[in-house]
Amino acid sequence: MSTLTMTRPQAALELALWQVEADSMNSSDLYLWLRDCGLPPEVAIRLKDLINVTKQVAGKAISLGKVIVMKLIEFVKLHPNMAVGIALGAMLSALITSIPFLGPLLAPVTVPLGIAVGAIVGHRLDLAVGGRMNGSIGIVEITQDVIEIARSFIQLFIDTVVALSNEFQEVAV
Amino acid sequence: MSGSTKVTKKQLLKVIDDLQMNPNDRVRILGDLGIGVIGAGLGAAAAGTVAAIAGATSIPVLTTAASWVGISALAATPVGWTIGIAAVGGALAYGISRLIHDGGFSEGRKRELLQVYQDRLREIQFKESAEKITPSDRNQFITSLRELIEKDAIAPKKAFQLIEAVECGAMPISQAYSLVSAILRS
Repeated sequence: MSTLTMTRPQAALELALWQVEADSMNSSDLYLWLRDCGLPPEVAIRLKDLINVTKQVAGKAISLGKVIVMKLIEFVKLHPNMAVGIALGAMLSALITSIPFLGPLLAPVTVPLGIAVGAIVGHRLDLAVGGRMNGSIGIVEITQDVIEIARSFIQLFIDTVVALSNEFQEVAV
Repeated sequence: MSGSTKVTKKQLLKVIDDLQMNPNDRVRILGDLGIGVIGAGLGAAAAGTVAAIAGATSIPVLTTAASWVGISALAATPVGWTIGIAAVGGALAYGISRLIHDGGFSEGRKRELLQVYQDRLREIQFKESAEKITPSDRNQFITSLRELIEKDAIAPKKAFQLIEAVECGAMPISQAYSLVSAILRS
């Protein structure tokens, strides 16, 4: 989507600034919002677990899970007329398809949200790019649109994480 | 962070100039931009604690770069339009202009600045270890960004976020110097 390739120092700056935001946000407040926005409890509790996920990048601990949840909330808030489950599903689909190593991390959240449809949509988007799909409009096409909107929104995050993907390491517990 | 997410280059440069002329009036000058300044006598370690307390209670978050990519374009949008905006937004959102590669800085000046940043980084690391960071060290960091902002090597928004993070103690000055040095080195 983006026209420039993000360099490692640019990505490191973005990530450091997100970490500052993450540090200034109370995890309990995030969880309260998740509970209040109408998400099913099983999804909210799994997102709460995601908040605690940290990774190490160049010797510094990064609250990757918290940053992702903050981005999800930001997207949901920007689209108040979009059902929260659809908005979250679209964002998670966009993240999983663009950043493969996030798949296992986000799997516990994606399963209860039923993001299998995201995989089908992703496949159909690939077909569309290849010009092998007709133009009929249905639920899958609408979902495609939503995922495209989500991907546009999250592109900076995707580019940043991809630029640093070789440096993400598990944090030993 | 809080933030003047729409801070312009002109505003930021003016603030830096004011700070250079009146370094003791930093609370008012930075306050005009919406940046809270931590106590003058606090060392780096204490600053972190203050930031944590402030963060938990009063610093509104969710003002990331992504919001200004998306906020106007994505609210109610045809998808094609969204994608077009996103491509432009993506380029802008990197925050770092291509000018750094395309001649905004001469190679010599870039090396010179890099040397200055590295010297200050070492100096600040010693001071942080000794917990002897003073407001003038923060002023020095802020004013050191002037040339980079002026020559579009760093976007005003990113510079503002860096200043804010350093001022509220959420980011050590040494980390800020090292992030900017890395950009100059690339």
